[in-house]
Amino acid sequence: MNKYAKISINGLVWNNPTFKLMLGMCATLALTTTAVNGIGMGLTVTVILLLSNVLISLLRKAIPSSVRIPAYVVIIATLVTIVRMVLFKYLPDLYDAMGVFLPLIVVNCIILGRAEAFASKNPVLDSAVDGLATGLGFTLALTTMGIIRELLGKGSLFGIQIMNFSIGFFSSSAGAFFVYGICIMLFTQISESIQLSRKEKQGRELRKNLLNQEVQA
Amino acid sequence: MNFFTLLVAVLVSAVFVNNFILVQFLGICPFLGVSKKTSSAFGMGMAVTVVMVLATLVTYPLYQFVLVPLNIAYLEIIFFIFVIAALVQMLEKILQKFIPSLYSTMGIYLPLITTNCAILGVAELVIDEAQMLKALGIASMNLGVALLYAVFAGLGFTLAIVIMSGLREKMDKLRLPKAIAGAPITMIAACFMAMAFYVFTLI
Amino acid sequence: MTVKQFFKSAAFKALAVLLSITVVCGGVLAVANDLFYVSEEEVNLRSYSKLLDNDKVVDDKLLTEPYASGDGVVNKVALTEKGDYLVQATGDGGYKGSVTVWVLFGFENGKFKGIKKVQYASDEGETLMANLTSAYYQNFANHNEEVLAGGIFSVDSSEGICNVVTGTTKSSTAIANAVNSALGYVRAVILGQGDNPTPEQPKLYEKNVKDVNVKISGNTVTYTLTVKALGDPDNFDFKIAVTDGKIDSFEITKNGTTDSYLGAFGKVDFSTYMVGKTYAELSALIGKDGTEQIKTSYVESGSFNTLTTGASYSCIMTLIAGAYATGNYEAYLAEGSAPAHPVYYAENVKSATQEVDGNTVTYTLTVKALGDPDNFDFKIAVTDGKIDSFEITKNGTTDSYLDAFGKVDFSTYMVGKTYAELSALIGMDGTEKIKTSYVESGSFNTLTTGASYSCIMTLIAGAYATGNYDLYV
Repeated sequence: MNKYAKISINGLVWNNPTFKLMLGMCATLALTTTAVNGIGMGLTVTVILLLSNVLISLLRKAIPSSVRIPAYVVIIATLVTIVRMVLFKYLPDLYDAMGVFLPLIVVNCIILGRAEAFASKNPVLDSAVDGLATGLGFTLALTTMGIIRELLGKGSLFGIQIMNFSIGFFSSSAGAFFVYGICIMLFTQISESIQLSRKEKQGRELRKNLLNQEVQA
Repeated sequence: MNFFTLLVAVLVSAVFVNNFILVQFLGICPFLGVSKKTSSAFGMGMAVTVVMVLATLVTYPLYQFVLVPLNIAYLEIIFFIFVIAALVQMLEKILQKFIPSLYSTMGIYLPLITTNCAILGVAELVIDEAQMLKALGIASMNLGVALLYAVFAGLGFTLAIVIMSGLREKMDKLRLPKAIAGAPITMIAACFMAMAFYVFTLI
Repeated sequence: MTVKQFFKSAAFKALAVLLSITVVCGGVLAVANDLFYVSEEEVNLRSYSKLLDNDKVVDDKLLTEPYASGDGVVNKVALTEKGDYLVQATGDGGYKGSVTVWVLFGFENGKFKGIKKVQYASDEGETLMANLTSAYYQNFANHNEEVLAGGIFSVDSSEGICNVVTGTTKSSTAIANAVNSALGYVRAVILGQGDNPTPEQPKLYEKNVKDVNVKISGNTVTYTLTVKALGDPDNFDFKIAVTDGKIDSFEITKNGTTDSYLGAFGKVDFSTYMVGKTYAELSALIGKDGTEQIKTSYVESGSFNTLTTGASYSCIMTLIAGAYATGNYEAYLAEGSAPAHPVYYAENVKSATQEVDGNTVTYTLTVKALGDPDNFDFKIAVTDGKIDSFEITKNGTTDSYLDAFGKVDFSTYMVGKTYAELSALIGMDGTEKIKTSYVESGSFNTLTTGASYSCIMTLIAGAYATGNYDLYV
């Protein structure tokens, strides 16, 4: 599989920041009351993640290891501040919805985590793809949870009222934990079973090849 | 309002109604990461409280008396994170010197307090005057109220994390299906805790 | 280590890198801050967006200090882009004190249209606010006929327009008081009726007359109106001009007399008879409507002795027309006549003069340059809403496009065109930006390049002339 596809799938699925690595949980629990909020937060983080990965990858040879964390933090903080200004000017509704979690993106473990684990050791294009994929994985996870919570908690989808039946529990903070827990459980089950079946398939292939070799020999 | 009423109002708001972990979702990472043992959970909670208070002590006046008057309020995020990082470094050194046992117990989690949403969260929340006035039901905001809020936010955090660690210690002894064990069951437990705390919002 | 060693050491290098990154970031942020600056004013005005749909506040400092009115006080008054007024008022009489609401008053072309929306702002601890649903608040906007007639709201139907939810009488009272305070402000200050406004008086002879069209010019009010059929005849149409309370000119534009009575009716030359008559004289002949029933005997006792039978109703209807015109003269002068619509394409036309002759309005106008060409001058005559004659008196096309522009004979093309047809080609100004593509899709396919602007400007002239015809005729 081509390198970029591999990085992408990793970021999106196998190493999904929300359901597998469990990073950035604060934002996940707080901003999934509606699907729109989920998408908004997810895309904001994706943009920042992409830019920070690119910048840090560009500068990776210039930043000495001893000050790398503070340097990364300054860069990320600058990006977050710029995004904050842009949102306040052009998308004030999203700005209000995100509230205190917008500046908190600075300490969002995902961004610092990817910077430290990937961007500081890899070339720019790879880092960009990784940032984009991880960010989109985050967005997908948030949107999924947002859809579930909004549909069950308010009966609407993306703001459009679909049903009159709703269970307020899902919109509450307790519901956030609950949905998150269930999602992690389902995700882990599905991804593990897929990986397990893959391994089995690989194992079978290997044995088949060995047998063929034996027969031929 | 007199001091005692203020105290109660902030306490109820920060510890229960707007509990940092269970209601405002700030500080979830350590909540799930450090809460396996009650003793380390308590230590973490205390460390977080101390850093919260110190951070607010520095960032609030910094914002009100330096950044805003100089019209560089947009640099707040950078300044705040610097202050917090420096404070945590200092705390690390102090703990190493004076309470080495705690230092070694906490291990890697100490520097991680820097990236703890709760610290930066409390610093950012107290400077938003409108929100504060609404949340606490008071007339005006000053450093004293901010510090009070920080103290109780930290205590609320500690309360939540200690309860969670107690629950987890018990749960570790149960035999749960592999699917549910670990993260999912912790989340469900947190869910129930949140429901319990929800009662307070009805006051 | 020595100073020199320090400067070469790794520690220094690390610090230098960190510092330079910080400085660069600081600089970028300073630039970004200027780029994305949102002024405090704008932030303040944005907060109103939750109260308005598709509209925004342009000025929220109309009230400098609280205005007491009725059982409440008005705190804030803001003007929106569409010309509506957003008023925040607090009403007393609630269970625990007061309730504050926002009231959006609708204004169209400066005329008060009533309440558009009422929204809850805050209260002093009323406990049953949750019982007041959106339907309750919506109801405030459903009684505009009564509001315009001077009505107020109350929880008691005998005291005003009733709007109450059972069990929340006190909160409903406070809200009604708040809305009334806001209404009081609008009536007293915005509509300028002073502190004791009188409800709008019905017009004299209003029940006898319909389809009234009024044009005011200085002291002269010109009416075109229809008097409803009374007895045998059909409706009559009239055109009457009143100056300083006396009839100036009187014309029967449609005679509704039945054929058999035409002769009798024709015996009086009303157009001469009416000139110089006042309301007092005319109402004495037929009786004031509403207070005295119109008496046919009056007709027979006046200068109409010759008409003892028949044509009485026709005469009365004619006299009613004159009485209406003179009797309501003062009221119309005070009220002014609101134009049916703003001047179309006003921004595209530099100067325009009109000459009115009967049903024909002749315009001499200049269309402002659009794109390459210069200003164009036109002379256009419009009769009954359609273009009669069209002349380009100054052609602003640039030399290179003169040929292309000349391919269409506008003076022939324009004759007979209406506002609807012309505005469809270029888009209505204000609601749609004038689209050059429209030009290409019409009969101007020959002009695919160049001369488009000249064409558009010519079409604008025609649209202006036809569209504003009804304002001048």
